[in-house]
Amino acid sequence: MLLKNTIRKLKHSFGRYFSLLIIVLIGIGFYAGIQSSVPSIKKVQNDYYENTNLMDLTVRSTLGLTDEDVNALKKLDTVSDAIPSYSAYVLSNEEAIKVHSITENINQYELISGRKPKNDNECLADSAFYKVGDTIKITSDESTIKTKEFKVVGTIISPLYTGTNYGYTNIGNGKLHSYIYVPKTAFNLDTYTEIYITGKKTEDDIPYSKAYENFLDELTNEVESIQSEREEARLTEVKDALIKSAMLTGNTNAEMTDLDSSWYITGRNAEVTGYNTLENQYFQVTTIATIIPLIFVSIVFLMTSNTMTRMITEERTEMGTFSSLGISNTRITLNYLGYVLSGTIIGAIIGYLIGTIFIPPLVYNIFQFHIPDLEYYFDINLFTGCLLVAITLMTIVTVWNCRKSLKEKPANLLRPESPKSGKTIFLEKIKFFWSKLSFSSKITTRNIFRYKKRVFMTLIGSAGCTFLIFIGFALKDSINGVGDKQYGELFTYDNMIVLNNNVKTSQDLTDINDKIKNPLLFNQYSYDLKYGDDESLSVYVVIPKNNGETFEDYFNLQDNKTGDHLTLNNDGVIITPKIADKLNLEVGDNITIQNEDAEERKLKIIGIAENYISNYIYISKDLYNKIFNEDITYNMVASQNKKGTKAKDILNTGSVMTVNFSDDLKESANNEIKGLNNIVILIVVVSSLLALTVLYNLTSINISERQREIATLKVLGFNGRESNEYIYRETLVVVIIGIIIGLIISVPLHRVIIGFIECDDIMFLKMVKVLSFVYASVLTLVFALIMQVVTYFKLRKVDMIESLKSVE
Amino acid sequence: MAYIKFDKVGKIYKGDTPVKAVDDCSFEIEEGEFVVVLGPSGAGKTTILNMLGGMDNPTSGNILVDGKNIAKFKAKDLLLYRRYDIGFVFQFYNLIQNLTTLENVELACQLSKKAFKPKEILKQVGLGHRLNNFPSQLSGGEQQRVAIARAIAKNPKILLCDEPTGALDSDTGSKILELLKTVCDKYHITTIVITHNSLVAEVAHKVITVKNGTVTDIKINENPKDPKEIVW
Repeated sequence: MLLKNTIRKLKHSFGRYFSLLIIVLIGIGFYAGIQSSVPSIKKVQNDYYENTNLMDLTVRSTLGLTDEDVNALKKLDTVSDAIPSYSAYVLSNEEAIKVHSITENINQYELISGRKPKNDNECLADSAFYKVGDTIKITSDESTIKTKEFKVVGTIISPLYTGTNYGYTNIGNGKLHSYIYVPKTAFNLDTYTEIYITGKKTEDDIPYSKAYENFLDELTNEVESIQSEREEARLTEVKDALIKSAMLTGNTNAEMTDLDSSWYITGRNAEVTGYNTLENQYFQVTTIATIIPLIFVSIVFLMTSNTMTRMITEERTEMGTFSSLGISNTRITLNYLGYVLSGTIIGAIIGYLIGTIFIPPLVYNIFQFHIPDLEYYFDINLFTGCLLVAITLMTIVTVWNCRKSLKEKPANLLRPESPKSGKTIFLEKIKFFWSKLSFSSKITTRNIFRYKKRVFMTLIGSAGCTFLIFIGFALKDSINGVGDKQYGELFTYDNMIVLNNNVKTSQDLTDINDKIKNPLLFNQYSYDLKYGDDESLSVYVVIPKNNGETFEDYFNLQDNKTGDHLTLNNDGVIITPKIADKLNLEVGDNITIQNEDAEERKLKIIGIAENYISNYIYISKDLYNKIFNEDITYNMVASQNKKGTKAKDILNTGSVMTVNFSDDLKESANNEIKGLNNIVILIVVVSSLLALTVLYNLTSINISERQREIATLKVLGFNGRESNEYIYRETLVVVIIGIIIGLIISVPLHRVIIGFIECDDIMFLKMVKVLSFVYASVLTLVFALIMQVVTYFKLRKVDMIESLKSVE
Repeated sequence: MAYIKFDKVGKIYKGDTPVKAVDDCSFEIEEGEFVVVLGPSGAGKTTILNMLGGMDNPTSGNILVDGKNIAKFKAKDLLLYRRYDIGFVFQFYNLIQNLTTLENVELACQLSKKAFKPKEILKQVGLGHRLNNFPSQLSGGEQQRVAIARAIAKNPKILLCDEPTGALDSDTGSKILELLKTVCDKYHITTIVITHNSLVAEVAHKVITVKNGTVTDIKINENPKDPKEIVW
């Protein structure tokens, strides 16, 4: 019987049932979708790395590597495999490409089209830039590779290259353009260029996990344990070979004193492009995924609670009837619970599926990592978690509301709830204000105070909506602007050159002086600044050769709060905000500075300069000289481009290791952020949907609560516009107040969220474009106006006969 | 010619089984008359009221009000008709709970350019001292007075009252009838009261009896009773 009643109720009030379902659907969908994004993407990444058997460590040596080295590495306990390979950077059409030797069983590429090379004149090439049939001519003078022209017979994607930025090199324009894989035999080398090592990983050792970090430490330690022995062995070998050849040719052995044998051991951070960026992005998305859905879930909860209250109020007569028929309260409650929970469960399941199917691919787009397709991954824990939370909350709301009603005697329940009586509101006491209001404004004002609960909900709904949309756009503003700000406004040099050898004066830069203007020499080194309990922050120390005009031109140091110009002098150092934040330092405090030999000195902070990327400590040459008693040589040059100067002009000189053009840095910073637009769209679309549902829900409740009033107005002769105004204006006013509140809370909350997603070497802009405020308020207002239209049509449907009906 | 003329009016409510609510209904009402439409519940009184009040169109026949055939009016014309020509008094008052006595009347006055002054009308109905009270603070009789004030404040041509005494006790009810009668005489508003209470009919100039959707009797009271004399 009661089940029949539930089903009938469902048919009867389909609109309400549906809106309940939709609200749950959106809430759960967004929450589950965002929550499952990062785990899904990480899983793809992990599977991909496992399938391609991506290296854990790479060993390089100044004197090359031999089969003995390979064997020694293979014998280590944690090493699973050590595979030697050749590589070289070459120029092709003036662009730098990296040539790898094809290796089996490690860093396995994915063949996109074509086939494997059969001879030394064939190669596999990056599918992003080449097609099968292309020829790649090596234009640089390269003795390490026998073949000068390769035919592309297959296109591939290598796991060593993620994203679009392949990193930097010291040839060409300084940027690595692409890569190819050629047969080992195409190389003309006696020793290997690198040995790729995989370790014995367990299932827990997934990328970026603590377990993987520990595993990597262990592996590195073990490799380091044989490092010096192997370095020695190689040195002896080379020396012996040189002595032999010297004896044969009668050459002097002057070169031998300069011989240096050292290994460089690097991990995925250095070897896999984009590996690091991914980690930061994971962190940011996870943080956003935790904060924003929480707001969603609270709104959803409030809304359903409101709908339930309304429903139970509308049906108190029915409850009374049941109650007087002697049906137990528990059964009546169960009846309602059936109605609510069926909607909740259906909504939650559909929402979960839609959310987890459609949102992760969207999020996946913002990652630079998109080689394999994202596979759908059903997380049973997340699913049951969502379902349980939804069911629990809904049960609480329903039971609570039913109990409230059922506590009354059946006889009372049979009578309708007495309508809310009008009250004089406090504003009326302010005669001066009240008398100024027009008649209709008075009514609107009084109505706002009459329906406190609904008004409160509208307020939360519209404030929340404004906030969410704002956050969407504001996150973009904050993150997007960083590149332009740092390399456009703060660092205003055109290029920054890293020198091969330290120099004393700019006169030493004989080979590049004619390519650049106004060079500023400076020394830059980095160290880990320790703080707190075993934490550290990587900082760069910058010591300019002179801290005069050129320095001030290139490094626009300004106070991060006031924007006042800061002058570097001999009284102390200027630091950047992140350092000040993490170490809790202010201007006037002392900071411990290390030199390259890890000697420590305390220095006073004379300023905190605005800065967004990396952390810097600026010291004047004289001060540094005084405290460390050290002569300074310079390893970097900041300068302006001479007209028409290209990176390769600078790079092709002997004294230059690399050069970074500010424009390139800006561009690559901007590129990394492009995918963020999708997240913004996602947040904006979902918030909008939610706002629409919330407002629709409130509008329906408003109309259903005031049927009689509306019908009466119509009988009195109010036309559509007038009744619409009478009924809806209060909502509109409240929405506008909500928008204002939303904007007010947005500013500090935006800062909090930005604080959460920042990582050690990036600071996001606190400033938000005015346009984001405009978007957020205008969109919310548009939704309110759409609802005004909906109200208009709903009002038209209200039957005037309603006014004649008896008060039941 | 009569001020209001119902001419063979029929109304069928369409649905799964069409219901004939009113059939071949004809009567006339003169300007300034106080008329009672009498009949048991389900007789079609409310349907007549709806059509006369401009809330619904008949399926057949004509309704002439002051020379205009409102049976053929479109929704927009009906709206203006309700707005300017009709004052409506409900059985359950239908006051806006959130507005004071005065504001409830002002709300209606805003609709019409020829409206009376709200305060004066409220004094007329004897509520000059309760201007700033909310409906919940008033008794049933007082609330109905506010409703009458609201209806006549627009200065309508016709005052339609749906069971105006239905929710009131005999004593209060007769006072409301008295007020309606006074209003009818003083402002020359044609007043039509719909009721199932035959005692109420005794105060009318004309009594139109409705049964099973059609007019069965039209009686003219030469000497209508004073509302004070009737008790139920």
